[in-house]
Amino acid sequence: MQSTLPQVVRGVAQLYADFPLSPPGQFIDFRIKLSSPSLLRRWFRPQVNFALDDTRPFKPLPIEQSFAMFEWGLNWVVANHAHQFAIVHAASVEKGGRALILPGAPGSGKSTLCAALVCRGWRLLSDEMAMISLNDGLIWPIPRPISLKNASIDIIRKFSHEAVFGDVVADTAKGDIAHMRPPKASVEAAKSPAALFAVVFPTYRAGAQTEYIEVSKGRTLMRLAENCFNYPVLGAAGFNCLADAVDSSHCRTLIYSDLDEVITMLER
Amino acid sequence: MSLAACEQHPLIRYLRDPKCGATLDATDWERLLRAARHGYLSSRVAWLAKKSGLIEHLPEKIRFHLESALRVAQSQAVSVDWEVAKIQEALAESAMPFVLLKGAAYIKGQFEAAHGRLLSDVDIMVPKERLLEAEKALCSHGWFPTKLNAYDQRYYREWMHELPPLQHLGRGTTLDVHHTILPPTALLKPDVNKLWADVHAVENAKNVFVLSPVDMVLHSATHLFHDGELEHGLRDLVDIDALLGQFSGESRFFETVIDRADELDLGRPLHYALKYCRAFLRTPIPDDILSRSAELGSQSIMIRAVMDVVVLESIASILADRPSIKSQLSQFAMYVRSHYLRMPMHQLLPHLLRKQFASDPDR
Repeated sequence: MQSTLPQVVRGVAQLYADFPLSPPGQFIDFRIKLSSPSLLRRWFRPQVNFALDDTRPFKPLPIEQSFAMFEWGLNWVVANHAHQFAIVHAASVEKGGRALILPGAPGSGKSTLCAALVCRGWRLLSDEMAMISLNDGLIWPIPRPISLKNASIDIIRKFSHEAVFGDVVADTAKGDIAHMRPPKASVEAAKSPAALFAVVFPTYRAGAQTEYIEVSKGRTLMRLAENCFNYPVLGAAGFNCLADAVDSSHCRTLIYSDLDEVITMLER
Repeated sequence: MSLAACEQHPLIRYLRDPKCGATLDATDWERLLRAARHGYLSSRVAWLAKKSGLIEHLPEKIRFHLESALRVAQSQAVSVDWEVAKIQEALAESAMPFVLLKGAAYIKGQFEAAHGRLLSDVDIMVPKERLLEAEKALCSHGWFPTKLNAYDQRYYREWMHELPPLQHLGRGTTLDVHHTILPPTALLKPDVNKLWADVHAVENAKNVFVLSPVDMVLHSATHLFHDGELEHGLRDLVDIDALLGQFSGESRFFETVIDRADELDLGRPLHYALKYCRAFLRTPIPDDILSRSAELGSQSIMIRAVMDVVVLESIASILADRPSIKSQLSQFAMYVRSHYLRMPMHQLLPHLLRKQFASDPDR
């Protein structure tokens, strides 16, 4: 990737510190560039553009959102070019060889729960997109920074003093945003996939008792399909992959408010 | 970038001879795949690797991209099937025949050019006198004109050879409905009735047709050099190369194309297509055919030289690791040129000025 924007440089230095650099001469999958759209836009209401090669899939954003744009852009790149996987809008974590997929609408608390689990020693597989391999049904990691929004940022700060955050960016399309650095161990294990154990739909509800309720396999399959970015591309292969995933895993919905309580319960 | 430099590019070498993929190193493959993505050719590249058996022998990181691109092409073929079935349904009530053009035609007609062919919309042609009837039928089945202002509506309907692009409300797919292959305002005036007289029926699809092989080549050439801005230039050359590769085995195919180009007043685009297919892709085209096409599409030396530069630059811009000012200029020249070929100067100038300066609320 290429950028001279301080927001991007800082974000990468803080949050991708544990990722190895590609040695020279190695095959690079994607060349990504973040830059100002024009000289004018460097000074007057400065903006940032995301480019894959020479294509710019998005409209420019205010410069403060540069690092968030890098993350969103990278999501787009993966979702459009990795069709060996059913790519589900979900967080995924693993402990003891058992992977959980946590799909959820924005604001459902999936990233909060994911960050909390990771702070308590679970391995981060991915935050925004669960990658279910069409070949072997395993969940493949892309342990990139976890994106937290609004109140979640402080909740996790209080939850773990070790969590490292990048800049907090106010007023994006998704509200205030900050990214949390993935644990070193998760980054180092980025090439080891994990077997799916459960699909859990989290819902944060203030003051609620923790509830862990079984959901039918059919309903779970439909919800995964709705949340699968590349479902239209995969067609029958995607359906079969998700159906197999659901078939071999526990399907639950999870209502929670207390992170410690929910983690204890999940670890049981 | 010169022609010689283009010829050294791994994508061009690979398109000429996919077997050379086995000798490319990581950097070459990176440039190849990047250019292929840029030129809407990634799935074609992947299919060529599969067809030649090369894909099995490539490093995993490269195979990854190719397999992903193959899935994209597969899904497009399925969705073209579905779109065509839906269009058929919409037009069946008035028993209206329609001709599939370009990508959809290659796929439904099962031509070699279909493999790995990416498309962003389906193009069809309906009889001119039934254009509005077709629009009404399609509207009642969920296709609506994309949001356009009154000026753009008029631009399409009055001057161009198509309705404004239609978009399906439910599926979001785009459909271009044409009634001929060049705008009525254009300099070249192919007789559309002659195209209709030769159409071939698509198997198991009532009222669905494709152009005859000869006309398909001519239409591809026309589209490439008179309709677009050459942004898909290399992809369109690959289409033509694949069509020629498939049909040239038929006896006297090239002679038939030349005669037909003469009859339809399409000598010039045919000549360009043959010339640049041979230059960039080494398509086997007999010398006498090339020179006969040059006579048909007679051009001054100056225009020929300009055309060489423009085509070279637009293909170079797909291959280049970064865009150059020169290629941006020639893209613009091509844009102006494609409009000039579509409409006379007294219509063109006000149109371009308006497009350049009129405020567009969506911009």
